[in-house]
Amino acid sequence: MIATLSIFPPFGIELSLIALALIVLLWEAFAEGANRRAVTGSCLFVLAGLSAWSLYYLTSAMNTSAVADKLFLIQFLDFKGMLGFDGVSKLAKPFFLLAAAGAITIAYEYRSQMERGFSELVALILISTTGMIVLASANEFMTLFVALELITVSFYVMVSFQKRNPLSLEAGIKYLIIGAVSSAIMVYGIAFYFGTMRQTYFMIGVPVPLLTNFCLILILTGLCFKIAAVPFHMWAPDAYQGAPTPVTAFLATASKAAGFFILFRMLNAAFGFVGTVHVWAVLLMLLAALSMLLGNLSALPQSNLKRLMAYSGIGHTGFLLVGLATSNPAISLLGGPAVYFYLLSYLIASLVIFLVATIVSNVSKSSELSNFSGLAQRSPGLAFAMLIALASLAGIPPLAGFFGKFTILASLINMQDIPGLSIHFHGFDLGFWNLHLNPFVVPGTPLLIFAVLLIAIVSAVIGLYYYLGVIRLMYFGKIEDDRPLPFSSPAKLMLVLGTVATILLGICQGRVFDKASHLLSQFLNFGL
Amino acid sequence: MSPLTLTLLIPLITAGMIALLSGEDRRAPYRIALAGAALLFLSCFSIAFHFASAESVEGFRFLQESPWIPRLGLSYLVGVDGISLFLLLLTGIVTLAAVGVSSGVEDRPREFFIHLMLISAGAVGAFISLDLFFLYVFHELALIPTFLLIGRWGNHANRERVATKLTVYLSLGSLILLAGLLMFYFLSPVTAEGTHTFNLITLRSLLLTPQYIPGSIQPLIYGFVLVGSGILISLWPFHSWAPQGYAGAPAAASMLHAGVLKKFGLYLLIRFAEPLLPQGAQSWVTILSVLLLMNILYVGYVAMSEKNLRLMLGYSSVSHMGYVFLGIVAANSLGLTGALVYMFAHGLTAALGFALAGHIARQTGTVDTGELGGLARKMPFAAVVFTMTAMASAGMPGFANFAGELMIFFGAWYTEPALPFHGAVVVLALFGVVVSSVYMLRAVRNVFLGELPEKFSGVRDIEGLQERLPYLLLLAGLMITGFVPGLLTSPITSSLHGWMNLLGK
Repeated sequence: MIATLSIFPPFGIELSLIALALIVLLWEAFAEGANRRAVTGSCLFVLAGLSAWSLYYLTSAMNTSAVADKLFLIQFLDFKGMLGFDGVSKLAKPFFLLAAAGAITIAYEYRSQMERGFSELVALILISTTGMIVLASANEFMTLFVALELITVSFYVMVSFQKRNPLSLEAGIKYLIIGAVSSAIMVYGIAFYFGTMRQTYFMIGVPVPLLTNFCLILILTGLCFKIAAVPFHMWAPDAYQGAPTPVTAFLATASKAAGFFILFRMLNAAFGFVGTVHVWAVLLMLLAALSMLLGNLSALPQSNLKRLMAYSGIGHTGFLLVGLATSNPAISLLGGPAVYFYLLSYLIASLVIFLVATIVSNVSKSSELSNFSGLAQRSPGLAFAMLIALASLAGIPPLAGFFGKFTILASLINMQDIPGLSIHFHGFDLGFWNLHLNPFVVPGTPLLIFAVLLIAIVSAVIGLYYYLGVIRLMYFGKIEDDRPLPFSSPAKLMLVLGTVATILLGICQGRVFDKASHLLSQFLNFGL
Repeated sequence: MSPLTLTLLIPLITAGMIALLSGEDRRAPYRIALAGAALLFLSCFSIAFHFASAESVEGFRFLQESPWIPRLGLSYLVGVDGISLFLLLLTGIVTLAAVGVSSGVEDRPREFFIHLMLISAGAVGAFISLDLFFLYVFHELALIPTFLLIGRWGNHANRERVATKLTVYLSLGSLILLAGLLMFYFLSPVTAEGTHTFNLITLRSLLLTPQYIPGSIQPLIYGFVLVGSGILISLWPFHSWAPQGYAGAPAAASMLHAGVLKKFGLYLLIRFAEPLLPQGAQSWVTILSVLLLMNILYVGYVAMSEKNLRLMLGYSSVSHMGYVFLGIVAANSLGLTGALVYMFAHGLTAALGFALAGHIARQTGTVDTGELGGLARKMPFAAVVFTMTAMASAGMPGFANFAGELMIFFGAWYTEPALPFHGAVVVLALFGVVVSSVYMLRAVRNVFLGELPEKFSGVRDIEGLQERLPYLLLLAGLMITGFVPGLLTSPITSSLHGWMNLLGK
């Protein structure tokens, strides 16, 4: 055990990522116009190695608490407990490495639409990936804030990367202003936390009745901007549309997922008190209902794929929030693994869709939906990959997205009673009918479950409708030009892997789901 | 490995083989699909043949179980009893017939037959699964192939809209059904392994335990299941997707969908909701009686006034679902046996109707009964088959439909305790038989009798054994079971008695 530990220190992946980012930057600086193919190839190779390393963590029983006393090195790398090495961070590592590999592949495919700065974009993706992994391991609010800013600042640059394109600049400004405001609100909440708890760690603390809820709401508001939950979503469509496609893909998947990882961690560790859990659970349920309904409804009239994905992403945020709201053992045991599985299926499907969008836009120079017309006749392979990805997002079995939705709905229905949540009716007086009913109380939890369940079903059906619209265009639309679309070999590999993974994850869900629920419940037991 | 798993693999492997073909030979996909369907047909029959001699566990045979997600108590569990055996047979027959009548598909035949095989695999999987999770997943497998089949190969002017409407409706139904299933899952008692379960055999053994779902919650769960599967079965007022969808789909797709897939919702009600939510079923009887009458009478009247032959067949197929619901409402051995026999018969009748409509449309270019006429002179075989289909549909003795209807009506009449207004319900439902004979015979007259318009003088009959075989196969199924209904009823009744005794009925 100790021997393997010294070869694979717990925070080696983060350090390697930073080193890789710096090497890519220096490469560009010293070898003017570095070979993009070589940069992409070596980055993907290193990321594959790091993923294998992170998968090794998943199978090892190593845990902060188990190893901290044994090795001085580990104690040093543990940063005084500011960074956790537990179930959540173990699950986060392969997830974000996968997202980074996907984003870099899309960036490589996008190279013809970029004048310069390919290596810088790759380096920024790697740096923000580091931020995401650190964020998912944060055990303390200062670490949380620094990691979050590492991600956000990288994205400020990436979103406005094409400085000649006014749309990209507009998107960058919007993202910058909203990002700064939301960070400020969150810092305000963190300040209150420090004020009431006298320290910034998640797990030690005694709740102060009103103040704890107050700083919970402020911090939640800040993070809800990052995951684009209604009503904090207005920036998403413009930023998604204006940003270069690889950045959009990374923003839509990894950045959103990072928000969910830290929300799961923070809510259960810092706000996992008996009374507080029910406050955030109900709040998140309301946000979830709003996000599902508004996100999916707004996606209906969109004619641009990136805007469509932005709004549908808001809808998916809603589904994920349902899982997050039920992630505490006091509410349900299924929420955490459900969110992880849903995020994984969403990540793979979205990456495939944005990759196909990049390949299409390389020829047509825009991401309007009309460019997808007749894709099935031009490039049947591309259309099939996109079909599987869209069907997975729509939640159709036997694909990965279905099992995600299945477990989310299961965790919603499995929700335990929330004490104190009830609606009191004091009788009716209907004018001249003079009908007096006795005062009665409606239990709130079943009502909440049914309302959210109904909204979830309706939203899922709306979602299916607009995804079918894209499939209709691809499969039944007319074409002017029937030459197959060209794409590179990394893109081909990613399309094949993404499609196979979506189907396999949908059929053999058990292993991933088991692993996630095992590791997350380990975290919850350790944290509480 | 159970022979059922092998049967499930046949259409899947066939689809995979067609996918691997090169696009050059345009006949090869049809030949491979036909071979696969024939193999599926033989496999279903050999299962039926060996059914009686196979080892039985609580009435289920050919069982195979392997754990799938142990943490959630889900397992891949397949097996058949008398109820699912005939639905499996139905799938085998209709798949073979549907592939048989599609020999003329010229437009992208590879994809066409892949979709067809996936729909068939979904149906086989749904009817052999005894774990509700897999039951659901297999049924949904057919969703996207159906969408693509109607949208790409459909015959309606705005087929894309029709395809979208059908898919959205069906997925709404499925999601409501899923919500009901999940509620059932979490409210049912925990098994010995410490998890909840979707395993139908285990659930049956939990039924009499004191921790079982209390009667006060059952109506709610049953409501979700009923509305969800009602949409899938096209129960009035959730039926509007069905006639348009079937009219817009290529013949093979309507045959499989109206004939086989639509039985899934009914199967789920009979297999799952009736036995496992008895009090819930009881509380919905009155509402369901009204809805089923609307299906039989209102939709029947709509079918009567419909001029488009395909739409008329679609409405007729919706209308006939009412009889099956009547058998379910009766909830006694006679009524349920009748419902199952009728499901089998209706599957074959619907497939025959849509196959013939497809042939007529191909030859004449229209399905408007006002334009058609006198076709019997040019296509005697089609005329004979269509007349027999019409008679079967109208419930003439000699066809399995008659046997099913008779048992349903007797079962609904002799319910114990009596249904509310059961006399009125049965008499009104009987009137539906008159309505369906009116529109069916009227269709025979308008299409096949009278003067043959000049422009149709070049039409061709269904010629040669190979083309006729699918029709003969379907007709043979209807007539053999019509003359010897005991073939169907004895295994069904013995399977039904298993849980009837458990419920003390």
